[in-house]
Amino acid sequence: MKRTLLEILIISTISIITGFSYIFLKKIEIFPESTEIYLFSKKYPEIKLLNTDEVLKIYKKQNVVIIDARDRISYSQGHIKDAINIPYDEFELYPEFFLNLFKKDNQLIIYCEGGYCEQSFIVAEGLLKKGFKNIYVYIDGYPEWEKKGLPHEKVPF
Amino acid sequence: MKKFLFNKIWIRVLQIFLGILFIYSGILKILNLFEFSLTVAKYGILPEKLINLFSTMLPFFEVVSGFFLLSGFFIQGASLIISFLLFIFIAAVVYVVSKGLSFECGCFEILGKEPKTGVLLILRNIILMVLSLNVFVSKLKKQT
Repeated sequence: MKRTLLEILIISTISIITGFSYIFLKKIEIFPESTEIYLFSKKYPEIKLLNTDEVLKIYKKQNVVIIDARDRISYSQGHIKDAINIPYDEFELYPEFFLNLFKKDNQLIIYCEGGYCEQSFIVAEGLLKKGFKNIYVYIDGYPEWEKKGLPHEKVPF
Repeated sequence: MKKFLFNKIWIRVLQIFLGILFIYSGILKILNLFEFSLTVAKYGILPEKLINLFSTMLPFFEVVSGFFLLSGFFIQGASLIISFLLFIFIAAVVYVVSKGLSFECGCFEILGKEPKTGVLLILRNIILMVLSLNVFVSKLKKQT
């Protein structure tokens, strides 16, 4: 038993040292200041999450609909090209009004301002409850999309 | 049966299988740390502040233990750590299933598809834990 404990100690030490070296090298925040994204992930566990690279891979497909869950002013100031606007507060009040905009088998990618906004999760959960299955939240949100110079557009409000 | 369970070749096969599996699983998590941390959050077990630390350290325990199991050194320690990790995974999935939730488990993909939390995943992890304990007991027996 003594030997087993010694082996566990050696393996744990190596794991901890390599783990912390990786944290140091990659500059990972061990105790993050903002944990909203984890709170949303915990609150809405059944919603699938996508990052920018994953959205880029699929967003040009025919079956994909991009939904901007922010308010109308933010949408008019800039949004992902071809995204449709479903403001989360309007969707909460009149969900039926927006359901004709897409089909049940569409892949729906919803976004808002990134990791610190809940609007996209609210719309995503509402759509899940209405029977839509292929629902994703783009976690990096519009600021990251715009920052990377990916296709976006503005419309007059 | 007893003879088979403690057979040298069988134990070596288990070591290679579990070693490769855990190295693969750990590396996948390290390559997608942020996604893995979001999945850890979905389980709703850890406080948010500890999620980054846990989700960064766990894959390193998997890779290092897997490496030792594969290499043939410190087999007792490595197999016991892997059994303990699997026990934690089983407990976490049981907790999530008891709450009626189902989402991609954050473990590792099989044939390009990641399994969802559910009874099948619990069964899979129980089998893996039994196999890992099989290695541990056989090495312990050999030592004594």
